[in-house]
Parts: sequence; structure tokens; C-alpha cells
Amino acid sequence: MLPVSAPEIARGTVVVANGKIVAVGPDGSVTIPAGARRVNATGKWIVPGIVDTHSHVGGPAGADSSGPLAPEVRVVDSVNPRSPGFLRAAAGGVTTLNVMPGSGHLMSGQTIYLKNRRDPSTIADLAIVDPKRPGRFLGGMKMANGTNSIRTGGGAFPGTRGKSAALVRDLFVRAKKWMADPKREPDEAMESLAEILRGERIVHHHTHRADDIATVLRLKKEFGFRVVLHHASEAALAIDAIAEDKTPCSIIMLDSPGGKLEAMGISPVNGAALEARGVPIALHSDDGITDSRLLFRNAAFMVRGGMSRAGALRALTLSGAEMLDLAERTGSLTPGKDADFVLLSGDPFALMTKVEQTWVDGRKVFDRDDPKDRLAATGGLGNRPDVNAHTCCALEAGE
Amino acid sequence: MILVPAPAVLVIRAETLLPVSGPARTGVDVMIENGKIARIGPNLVIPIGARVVAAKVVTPGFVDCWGTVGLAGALNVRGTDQDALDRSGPIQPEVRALDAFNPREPLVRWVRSRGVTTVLLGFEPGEVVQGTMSLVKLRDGTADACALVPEWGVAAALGPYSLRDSGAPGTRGKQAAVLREELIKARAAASEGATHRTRLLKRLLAREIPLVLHADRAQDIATALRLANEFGLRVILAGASEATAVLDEIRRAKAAVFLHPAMDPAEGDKEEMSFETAGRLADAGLPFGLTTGYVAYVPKTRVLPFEAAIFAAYGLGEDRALRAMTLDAARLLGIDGRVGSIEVGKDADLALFDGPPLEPTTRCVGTVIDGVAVEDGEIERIR
Repeated sequence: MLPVSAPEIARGTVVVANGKIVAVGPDGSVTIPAGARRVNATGKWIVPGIVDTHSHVGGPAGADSSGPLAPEVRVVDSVNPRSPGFLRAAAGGVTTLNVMPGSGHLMSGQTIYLKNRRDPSTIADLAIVDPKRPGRFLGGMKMANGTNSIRTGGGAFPGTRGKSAALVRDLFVRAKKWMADPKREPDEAMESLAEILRGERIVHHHTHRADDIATVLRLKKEFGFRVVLHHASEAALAIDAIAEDKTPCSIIMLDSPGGKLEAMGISPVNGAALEARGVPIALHSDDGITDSRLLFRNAAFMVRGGMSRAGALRALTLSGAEMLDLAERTGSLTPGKDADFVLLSGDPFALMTKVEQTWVDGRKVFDRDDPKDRLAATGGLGNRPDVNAHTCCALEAGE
Repeated sequence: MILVPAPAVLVIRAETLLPVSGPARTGVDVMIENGKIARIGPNLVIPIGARVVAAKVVTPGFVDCWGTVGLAGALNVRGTDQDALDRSGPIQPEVRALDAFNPREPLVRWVRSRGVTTVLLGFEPGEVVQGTMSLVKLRDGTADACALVPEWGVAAALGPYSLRDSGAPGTRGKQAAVLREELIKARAAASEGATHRTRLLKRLLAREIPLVLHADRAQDIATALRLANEFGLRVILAGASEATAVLDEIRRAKAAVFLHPAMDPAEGDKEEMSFETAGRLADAGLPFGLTTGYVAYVPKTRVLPFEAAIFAAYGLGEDRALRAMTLDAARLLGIDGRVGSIEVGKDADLALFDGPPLEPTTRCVGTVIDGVAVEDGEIERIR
């Protein structure tokens, strides 16, 4: 058992009740309530469920071609909770997802944090209610800089990096003015920007090149918003600036660099480089760029690149939860937290290891012994994978 | 680039040697002279001046049965480093991969430093017949220095990848018709053929070179086999995502498979692809190689051993996966006399690792091609 928040336990027991972890500890040290249903996981490994901080499962479609800044757009209005991509993510051990719009805009809309529960009727069944705002769900704000959010055809979109930053700066300046105006009119866009500036909504910022990373950090200094750098391909080259105040980074592992100019500098040692400087690191799928089923394998590649095993597992779980402000409810096998965990056939970073079961809120959402679930895990004739993860960005780009 | 004078003799000291042609051996030295494996054995007498490189695990260099590395570069900018497909027409067998290969493309060293030593260079499957595939080794030097077989086979594609709205076939029926017409014309042409195109198609008809036909859907695989049967062609199925639906047909046609990469996104015609297909082909005794193919976006090149590892984990197993990307591939490519296993007399193409080669946490720590230590570990950055 690898609780992440505590040291490894050689033979352990987890007690779950009412969707929460009640107790965790070595066999014999944990009181098992009378009448408890027992799941024999002898020989298996138990780890916390994966928190995927960057996913497009469910076909989120946020901002459109009408402009580069869309703070009022909410991805909750576009995600299909019955997409097969969620089961595929469960097959990979994913229990919490930050489903986001694409990176083709400077600000493409409000993201949504989802628990990967089974058989939802509507998105509300997966979403996490915002305790402070009735009828609203928890999520962040997706932003991007670099090439994806630049369009050279003129119009409302920026044609250069300089213009991109200027538009963002101007937006935040106007938001601050609106916040300070006692006679302000209700304004969805301004209200969501106010949430950002008050530190209530985290910015999830797609950025690749070292200079683009520096731009995000510069804007962060100017306006004081909380930000997670997403991808941060050249993190190792911008390490001093990132490490200065330990700006969290959610990174991706790709099998090779390039394919886009600004990702030329991506390196498999990014995880190790950030870890060495004490920067919080999460690992994400960016599904469908990489496959949600391969997150444990991608974390193993971070270890290949020099990261510690404990750091790599934390990057899949607790660190991601922290970057979504959800660390009090998930991300580790800790009493009081949601019963989100994964049964593995072996060491999470070994070649042959398979996800055997995935549990969310104390309910099993994936079981490799179920033929339908197994089909989602391995693929094959009759499988209907998620076609939507790839359309999000195409729709937003106006294709 | 490694700036050491190449010694006359290179010795690889292996804790575990995986020759593929035989069982694993522990504690053996591989002595390399003049680019060939000269001796294999424990505690060899090492000549003075020989360079000795130790590694935990040593395997044959990996053989990719369809890659576009060196043709589709990392910058991904048309006109600069994207030469994996010409779109001027649906039938272009005369376009030769070797003429577009850039051995100095940074992604070449990226895959080479992860153990890949031989690649059958192909194309983006965006036209019905994209060109002629060229077999190369990833040596230092020009494309000519790398070339093993400049005209290895003709690359074609059926299904959505090569369908267009105009200027090329817009339906599957038309794809097959166009290909059929070209073969009939070539068959009827004068014995030598006036154009390079005709000469190549005649080589195809004479079974001198194979047709490597990319088809994912079972129906497109069937069309591929049908066309091959009509003209008596040697056919290899590339991609073949739905191969398990037509195993008997593939077996009857005696067609080999260059299987799609495991981590190809499961969309479109590949919706029903499976991590288990390689294992199923091996269980059925059908010959197949592994590929990296073409990627339009990221990752711009796939890495053959990483793809093989996924198949290994899902039914193929580590031993069969290693064999598939070494000796089996060499056999399908017709070079198993010189490549694909660690045996005395064969080319010294080796990959060195610090652990079991397919474990995700293992690193490649060296690559040798024709006895030259061209890499000393995984390159971590290309910029």
C-alpha cells in the first residue's frame, strides 16, 4: 500500500464507509467494522486514485472564434459525461479529472473538476459542488500563451506574443477597475476574473517555451493570481524563475520532442529537474494527446528521467489534488478523504502491471474482470472509444 | 557526437546478453572487429588498445519496419523538414524515401540513442501510392552511407488517409480502381518500361519487391489482399488495426503484417485497435514486424521499443516483443543474414541497457552500429 501521504505499508488494510476512507494501516492494526464487505487484494498494490490535472475527455468545447478572451464561458455547459473516455480514464486509474477547454485562446473558459463516478445521468453527477456558490461547481480557468493562442489572420485574436500579453494585461486591469467600482453592473466575465484575482479560482496556464513561461510568471507577479503552469516543456531551462516562488507545474511526458515549434525543448528530465528544486509537480495526460490509460507508464518515464519514485507517484496523485485545491478530499490514502484508490497487479512503474480495479467515492468504477471494462482497457473489436477528446480543440479553432 | 578515435577492437562486456537467436547468456563479452561480431564468450582475451564498454543488458539493435524519422522532422514546418508525403497525385511510386532522408534530423539521434539501429523508411499514408520505401541503418554520414536497400518496396494506402475531395480518389472503390488500372497498364507496357514509375510497378508485378499496403479496417485489409491476389503480388499489410478480425484471410494469403504502433490514437479507422493484437498475431503464428509510422503532431516520432513494450505488457511478452523488433523484423526485411541477432559473423548492431530493455524505468546506455559506438546514452533534449 502506497498512501503517498505516509510511508509504504507492506501488508495493509483500508476501511471504507459512506464513500470515505475511515482507516488505513498495517494488517491487524486496523479495526474492521462488523458486517464489513471484504475485498481480498492479497498480492496487489493499492495506491491513491490518479488526479489528472489536464484532460479533454468528454469533448469540452469552450471559447469559439469570436475572440481570444472568454472568461464567462464554462466548459460544464459542453462536456458529455457519458463519453466512453471516462471509462477509459478509469481503466488507467484516473479518479479525478480537470476537464478543460483547449489552448487556442488566451483565456478559453472555466474548467471543471470531475470525480470519475460511474453511469452519470448529467454532468452534475460527476461535478463537485462549490460550497460557497449555490448551483456552481468547482473548477479553474484555462489560459494559454505561445503559438496556439496566436492567429495571424487579423481580427480580435493576437498575432504576436507581445499582443497576447497586452490583451491579458488589459483584461485584468479592467477587472480590477470593475471590482473597485461600487456601482458595478453584474457581469459574468468580470465576476469570474474577480474570482481569479481574489485567489478563489486557479489559473491553469498552458505554456511551453522558457520565454512564454517567464511571461506567465511576470503577469502573475503583476496581478497576484494563483497559477499552475501546464506542460512547461522548457521548465528545465526556466528553472530559476519557476523555483523562485515554487510555481506549481503540471507536466506531460511525450515520447519525443518537437511536432510543434514551441515543444522542441521538452525533455524527459523535466520532472527530475523540477523535483531537484522543490517545485510542486503533477503529471497529466492532456487526453487525447496522450492516453489516460498510460499515466502510470508515463510516471515511470519520469523516474527513467531521474525523478524519485515517491515524487513520481505523488505527481500522479496528491500534487495534482493540491493544484486543484482538492487535497483535503482526495489524492492520498488518508482517513477522512474520499475513498478514491486503485488496485494494481504490481509495482505501479513496472512493465507488466495492470490496473485491476478503480474506486471512486467508495464505489468500484472499473474492474478488469468485467469484459466490458476490459475492452475499454485493452481496446479491440467492438470497442467504442471517446471520439470527442480530439474535437474540442478543432471546434474551438472554428474548424 | 562522440569524439573518440574508433579503436580497432570494441568489446561489449554484458552482464546479460540477449542474442535473440539463442537463450540469454550471463557474463559474456562480445568482441567486435571491422564492424562485425568476431567472438562471443566469457572472459575473452582483450587485445591492447581495445575499448571496453560494460552494460547490464545487451540486445541486438532494434529494427523498425516502417518509420518516417528523418523525413518528418521535429520542427514540423512544411518546406523545411516535412518530406514524408508529396501531394501532387495519388500514384507516385517513383518517389523514393532515400532521396528525402535527412540523417542529421535531430529525431534520428533521439531514436538511435534509444536503441533503434535499422529503419525501413516510408511515408505519410496520404496518397494511394506514396512512393518507394528505403531500408537504412542509422549510421553517421550521408543518406548514401546509411542505405542498405534503396528500393525495398512500394508503399500504398487504402481507406480514409488517402481519400480526398478532389484531385485524388474520393471513395474506396475508386482507390482500388486507380491502383488496379496502374498495375494493368504497367503489366501491358513494353518489357523495360519507359518511365521509372512503370519500371517499379513491373518489379512489383514480378514479385521482386513487395507492396506495403496500409489498411486498418478489416474491409480495407480484404481489399488489399484481393488486389494482391489479382496481380500475384507479394503484399505486406501495414497498420492492420483490425487484423484479428481477418486472421484466417491473412494466413491464407501468406501476407506478413507491419503492425501499427501500440500508442496510435484509437480514432477513426483505428477505433477498434487493441494493445493485444501483437500477442494475438504471435499466438496465431503469423509473421509480423513492429513500426513507428507517421505522426502529424506530437510526438513527432514514435520510439520503437516504447511501442513494443506496450504490446509486450498486453500478451506479447518481453521475449516475443524483443524478437519482433530484431530477428523477426530482419527476416521480413530480408537482412537476417547480417542483422537482427547477436551472432558471430553478423553486423555489430547492438543496444546497451541498464536493466531489462522494455521496462519503462530502464535506460538505453549505448548504441553500436556496424561496430561504431554511435551513442552513449539517451539524448535528453534536441534544443
